[in-house]
Amino acid sequence: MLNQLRLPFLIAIASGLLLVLIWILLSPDVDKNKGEDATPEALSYQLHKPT
Amino acid sequence: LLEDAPVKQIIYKSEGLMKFSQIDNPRELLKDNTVWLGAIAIGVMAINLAILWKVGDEAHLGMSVLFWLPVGSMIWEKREELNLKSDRIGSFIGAVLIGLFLFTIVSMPARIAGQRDTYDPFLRLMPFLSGLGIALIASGIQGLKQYKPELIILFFLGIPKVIITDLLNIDISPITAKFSAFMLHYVGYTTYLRDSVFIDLPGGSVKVYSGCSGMESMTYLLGLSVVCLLMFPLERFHQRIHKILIVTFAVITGFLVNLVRVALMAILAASSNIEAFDYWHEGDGSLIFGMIAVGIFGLFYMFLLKQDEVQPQDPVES
Repeated sequence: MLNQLRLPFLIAIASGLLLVLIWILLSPDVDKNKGEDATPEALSYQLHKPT
Repeated sequence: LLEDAPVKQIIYKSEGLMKFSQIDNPRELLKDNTVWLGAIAIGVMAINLAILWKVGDEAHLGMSVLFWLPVGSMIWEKREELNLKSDRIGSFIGAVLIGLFLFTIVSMPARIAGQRDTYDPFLRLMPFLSGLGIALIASGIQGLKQYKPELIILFFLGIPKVIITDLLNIDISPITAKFSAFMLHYVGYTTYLRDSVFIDLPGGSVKVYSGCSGMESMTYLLGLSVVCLLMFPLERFHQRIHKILIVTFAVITGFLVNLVRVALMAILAASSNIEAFDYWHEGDGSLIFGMIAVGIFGLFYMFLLKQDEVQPQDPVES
């Protein structure tokens, strides 16, 4: 029984992965310059000038 | 043996597990579990790489290729010997892990958008978790040990960085700043270390944040040393102490190369050369330092492999 269900189970997972891969490839690039720098980590890119 | 061969083939076919060498009819491929498991493995690898490319994390994309290739190669080499019988619990946990992987990937671009830093701990966990998921689906809990070296490689692809930076909150940027300032001082620059993380030079200064502390470089080199030790095991230097020394050398190389990078950033900041600063900090120049660190360790390991080939001479009898 388990052996008979294994093939559809694997096909379902492979199909899901294929759909997500297509979605990633077709989705627009992430705009990293949109909005404010969200994390404190991003501030590490700031150039500090002595006052 | 010849009489036994068709019987074996029937057994494999009845279990949906054909050996690759026994596949002769292309239509049979679609009924074969092995082929679908291979497709899932390729799909997971492609998604892991595609999402990094999409979010613009080029450095981690390059390192991921460097880690996924040996994993694929090692699995391909032992494909005939793998036991591909799974169990219910293994298949269920594997499916949950793959589901979690897909959910995280789909939500990733929205989370990354608007940030200049593309680092996300989930992206670093995903190669190992998705690899574990495939292994469980393919061979169940009992068969996990077959994939030990591959899972170790995927573990070192991103998880040490997450453990050190996100779970333990260890920040070595004061140490990096101190050593960089020290290095600049001995090269002849007038430097001043302020608040542990500011390196002041006449004309400008830089602040060393955790993202620039070198932890990334150190964890990559740590992983690369593990890949080398698993892919190209050494015969003469096989003891635990040798492995510890090789891994330590890799981590120190990552730290030292980053020190030079931070020192260069400070010099460029002091000269107010913003274009050059951006190039070496965020542009293609930033990738060059990673390549230098990988190159130094690669040469060191090649030297060890050469030494490994040289047989110790027999003692001369007098």
